[in-house]
Amino acid sequence: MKHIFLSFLLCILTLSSYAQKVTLSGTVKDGESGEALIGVNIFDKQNQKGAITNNFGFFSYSSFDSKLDLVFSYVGYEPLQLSLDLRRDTLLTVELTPSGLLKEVVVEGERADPIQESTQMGVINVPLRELKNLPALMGEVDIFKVIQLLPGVQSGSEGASGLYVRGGSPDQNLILLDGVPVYNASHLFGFFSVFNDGAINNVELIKGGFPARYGGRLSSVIDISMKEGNMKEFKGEGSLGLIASKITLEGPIQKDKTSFLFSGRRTYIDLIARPLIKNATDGEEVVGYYFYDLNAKLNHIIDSKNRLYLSYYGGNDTGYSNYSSTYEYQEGISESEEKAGLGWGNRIAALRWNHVFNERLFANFTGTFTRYHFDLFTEYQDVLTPSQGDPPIREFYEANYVSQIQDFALKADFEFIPNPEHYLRWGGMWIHHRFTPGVFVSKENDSPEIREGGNPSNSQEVSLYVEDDFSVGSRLKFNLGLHLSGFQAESKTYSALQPRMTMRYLLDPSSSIKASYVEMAQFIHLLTNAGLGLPTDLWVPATDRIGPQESWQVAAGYFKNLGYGLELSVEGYYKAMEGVIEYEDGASFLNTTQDWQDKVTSGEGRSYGVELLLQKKTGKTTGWIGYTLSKTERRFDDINSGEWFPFRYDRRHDISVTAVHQLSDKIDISGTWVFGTGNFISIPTVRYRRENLMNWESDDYYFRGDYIEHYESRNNFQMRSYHRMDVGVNFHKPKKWGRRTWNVSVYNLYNRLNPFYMDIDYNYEQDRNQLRQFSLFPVLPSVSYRITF
Amino acid sequence: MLFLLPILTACDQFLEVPLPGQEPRIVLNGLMEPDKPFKLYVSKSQGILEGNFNVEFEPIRNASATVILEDGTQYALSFREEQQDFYETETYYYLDGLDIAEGQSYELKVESPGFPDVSSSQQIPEHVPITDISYRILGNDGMNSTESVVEFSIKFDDPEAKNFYHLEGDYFGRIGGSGNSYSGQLYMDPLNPAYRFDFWYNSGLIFDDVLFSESGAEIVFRESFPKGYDWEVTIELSHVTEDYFEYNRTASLQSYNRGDALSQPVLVHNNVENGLGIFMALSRSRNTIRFSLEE
Repeated sequence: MKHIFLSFLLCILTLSSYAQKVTLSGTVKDGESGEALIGVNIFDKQNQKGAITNNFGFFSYSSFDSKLDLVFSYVGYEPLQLSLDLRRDTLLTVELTPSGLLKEVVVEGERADPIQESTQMGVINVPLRELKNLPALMGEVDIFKVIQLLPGVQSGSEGASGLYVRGGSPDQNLILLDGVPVYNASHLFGFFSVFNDGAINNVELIKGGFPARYGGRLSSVIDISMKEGNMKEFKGEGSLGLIASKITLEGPIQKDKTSFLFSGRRTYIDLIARPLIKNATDGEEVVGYYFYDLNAKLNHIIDSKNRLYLSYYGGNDTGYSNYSSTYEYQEGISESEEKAGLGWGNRIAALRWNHVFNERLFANFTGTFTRYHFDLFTEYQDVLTPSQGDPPIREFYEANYVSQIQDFALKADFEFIPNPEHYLRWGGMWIHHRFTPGVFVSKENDSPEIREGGNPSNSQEVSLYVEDDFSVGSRLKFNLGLHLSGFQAESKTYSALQPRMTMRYLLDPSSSIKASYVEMAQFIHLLTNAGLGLPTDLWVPATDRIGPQESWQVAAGYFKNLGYGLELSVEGYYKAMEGVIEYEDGASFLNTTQDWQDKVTSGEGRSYGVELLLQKKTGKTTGWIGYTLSKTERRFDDINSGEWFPFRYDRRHDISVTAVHQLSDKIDISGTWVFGTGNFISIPTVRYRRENLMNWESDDYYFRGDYIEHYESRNNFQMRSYHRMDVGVNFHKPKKWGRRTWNVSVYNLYNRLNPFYMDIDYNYEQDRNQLRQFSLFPVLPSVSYRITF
Repeated sequence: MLFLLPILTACDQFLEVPLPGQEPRIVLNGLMEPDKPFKLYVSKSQGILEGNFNVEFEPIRNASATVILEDGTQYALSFREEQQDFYETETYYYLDGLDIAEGQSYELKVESPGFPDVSSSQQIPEHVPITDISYRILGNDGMNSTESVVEFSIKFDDPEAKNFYHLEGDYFGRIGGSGNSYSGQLYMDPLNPAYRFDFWYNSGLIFDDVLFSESGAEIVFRESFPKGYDWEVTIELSHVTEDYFEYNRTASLQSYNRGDALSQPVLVHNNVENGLGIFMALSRSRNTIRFSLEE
C-alpha cells in the first residue's frame, strides 16, 4: 500500500515538470439543442493526442505546439475538423451537428471514446440510440431492461428490473441520477425501472475497474444523466402505451442562457379498471394501482465559466383498496369501511454549480437530497347505530408500517488537466443518512398505540478521493487513485482506504490489453427477502454488530476496434466480497417485532467469470452480442453449516443478442434473444419423522405428526433455463409538426414459460406431489404511439 | 404480491423435472442420558415427490442397531413394537442395562438391508448441578389480581469450553388442607430477551453459554401462579450436546415457519452419517423449591 501511495504521489509531483504552451478548453454541445455532449472524442492529428469531454461536456487539451488539427467525433454526429493556431490559452464552445444518415432515427448520440484507447475497463456506455427502437414490454421501453442485456449483468427473476452485476446483490449497485443515489429504482414490483427514457441523456455502467471518484458500493455504478433542456428551441416528445403514457417538454426560458426540461409518466390501469370494479361490486369496492414519475431540470448559464443546474425527480407507486358496506339489522344500522393500501417512491433533488477556474481546472459543487419511502396501511371502522336511539357504537383498528432512508449530501469534485498526459481528479463528499428500518404502529379502539420494529437512526458518511489518468509513453496508460471513506455507526466508526488501479497497454492502434485492481467498501446494506426488488426491502446501516461490506476485484481484458463500427471486448474477473448479509435460516420479514440485526448474518461471497461483448455501434444495423460465463457463491457461518453455496442468481451461461436494423427512413425492425441458465432456489428433497425425544416420561404425542423437510443445502436446486425472444417494428412518419412513430412489439415471441418461482405441490390429477413452476409472462403483444415535435 | 397473484396463478404448470436425493434413507431419532435406558427410533425418509399430502413414515423393523463403547464393546439393541392406541403403534429399538456415564463417548451403528450403513456418535455431557435457586414474589400479574408473578433465579457453574443447556421445570400447587391441586409445566419468560425464541414451542428455555459472565452462569425468568396455593416447583437443568441444541433449535424453527412462503428455508441439523435424523445426549440435574402465595 505504501508503495502505491508513493508512486501516486510521485506522479502528481511530476506534473509540474511539464511546461505547456497553450491550452484549449471549453464545452461541446449538440448544435440543435445546445445539450452538452458527454464523452466526445477530441483528437489532435498534428500531435496524435487527444481529450474526452466529461459529464458536463467540458474538455481541456494542452499542447506544446500552437498548431492544432483537431477532430471532434461523436457517434450519431457529423465529425467536426478544426485547424487552430493558438497564441494563448483559449476557451471554445463547439457545436456538433447530428449526422444526416442517422438523423431520422437517432435522438441521442453516443460517446465515441474508442474502446481500445481509454484506460477504463468494465465500462459500457448504454446505447440509448437502440433503446427506443428495441422491443418493449407492454409498450414501455426501460433502461434497466437494456442494461440487463449487457454481459456481466443479470436480471434476477423474469420481468424484474433488479440488477446483479458480476455476482453482486442489487444493493451493491450505485444508481445515480444526476449524481444523486436512487435507493429503489423499481416500479410495479420491479417490472419497470423509475427512469423515464424521455428525460435521460446518458447512461454509463461501470462493473469493474472503478475510478477512485466513485465509492460507496461494491459491484457497479450506473451513472444516469438527465437531459439539460433544449437551449435553442421548444421541443417535445410524448407516447401512448398500453399501460402508461408519458410526455417530455424542453426548451429555452432565455435562449442560450436558461433552459428547462419537464417529463412525466403515469400508468392508467386503475383509471380503466375503476368503473368496471365499481360496477361489479355495486359501488362497494374500489381497487387500484398506479405509478408515476416526474423529472424536471433547470439549466442556467451564468457566464462562460459558471453554470447552474437544478434537478428534481419524484415518483411513486400506489396500490389501494377501499371497501364500504351498510347493513340494516333489527338492532340498528351497521356501516363498515375497510381501507388498505401501500405506496413507495423516491424524491430526489440536486443543485449543481459548474465552475471553470481556468482552462485547466474545472469544478463541480453539488448539494443533494434523496429519500426512499415505503408505507403500508390498513384501516377498519365499523359504526353501529342502534335503532333504539342509543348513541352509535364505534369500533376501529388501524395499522401502519413505514420504512425510509433519507440522505442529505454535499459534494465537491475537481478536474485538473495540466497536459494531455495527465487528467487529475480529486474531491470529497459528506452524507447525512437517516434510516427508518421498518416501524410498525397499530391502534385498536381505546387501547394504547403499539409501536414495534427498528428505531430510526442517523449516520454520517464521508469520503475523499484523488485519481490521475496518465500516460507513460505512447502505449502505456494508467489510472491510479485512492478512495478513502469513513462511516460513523452507533458507537463504532468504520473507515476504508481503497486503492484503485487500471492499466492499458496499446498493442497496436486498434487493440489493447487492460488490467485492473480495485478495492471497494460499502457502509449500507439492503435487507431483501425474495430478491425481487420488492418495496419492502429495507436499507439499513452498518452497525456495531453488522459491519460494512468490502470487496476486491481483479480483472484483465482484450479490447479491439474491428472497424466498420464494430468493437470487441473480452474481460475476465475475480471478485471477493466480505461482510455481505443474508437473512438467517427461517428469518421472515413478516416478523416486524424482531430487530433486523437478529434476522441477518454476515459472510463472504466470490464471483469469477469471463465476459465477451461484440458491439456494432454505427451503420444501418446496430446491436450487440454478449456472453458471460461465470460462477458466484456465498458463505455464511450460520447458514448451510458454514459451507459455500451457489448464489441465487449464479448463472453459469448468459447470452444476449440484440439487433436494430433500419430498413428505410420510415421503418426499422429490432429483436432480442436472451438465454440464461436457471436461478437457484432451496427445495427440500425428503421428509422424515421427528420424534419427541425430550419428554421421555411424558405421554405427549404432540410430535407424532411432526416431520422435518430435509434440504441438501441452501439453493440446492437449479430451475430451468431461461430464454426468450422479443421482436419489434417501428413505423416512422414525418409530420408537419414533427414526427410520429408506431411501435409494435411482441414480448416472448415463442411463448416460452420461463420459471419465476418453483415449489412442491400436490397434483390432484396424478395424485402425487410434483414440482410446480410459476411463470409470469406468456407471449405479450403490445403497441405504442410516439410523437416528437 | 397480491397484484401479481392473478398473473402468477394464470401461468403455472406441473413439471416432470428430476429432483436428486429422492431415494429413502435411514432416519434415526435417539436421545441418550445417564441412568436411563436407551430408546432409538429407526424409520425411512420419504422422497418429497413421493406420496401425496398425507405424510406417513414407515418404521424400519429389520434393522440391526448397535451401541459401541470407547473400548470397542458392542451392545445390540432389541426391537420393540407397542400398540399405543387403536391407530398408533410405537416401534423402536431398546437397550437397557448399559451404564451410560457422563464424559463417555458412544457410537451408534445401524444396518438395514437395502440401505447404506449409518452411524453417529455422542459424548455424554458432564453433569452440571444447579448451585442455587432463589425466587422473588413480584406481586399481581398486571390487572389480574388472582395471580402473582414470581421471579426465579437459577445459578450454576458453566464448565470450560462451549456449553449448551435446556432448562425446564414443572409446578405442583396445593391448597392447604384440601385435596385441590394444580400442576403443569413452567412456561419460563426469561428476563433477558436474548433467551426468548418465538419459534420455541417446546417447554422451557434452550440456550448456549455465550452471554454468561466469568463470575458464573445465571438465568432469570418469571412465571405467574394462582394465589392461595402452596407451590412446589421443580427445575431441571440439562447440560446438552451441541447436536441436541442445534437439532432442536432448527427443527422447531422449521416447524414454526411452515406455511410462510416469504421466510427463508431452514436446514435442520443432522448428525447421522449416510442417513438422516439425530442422535443426541444430555445430563440432567434437578432441584426443587417450595413457597406459598397468600390469597
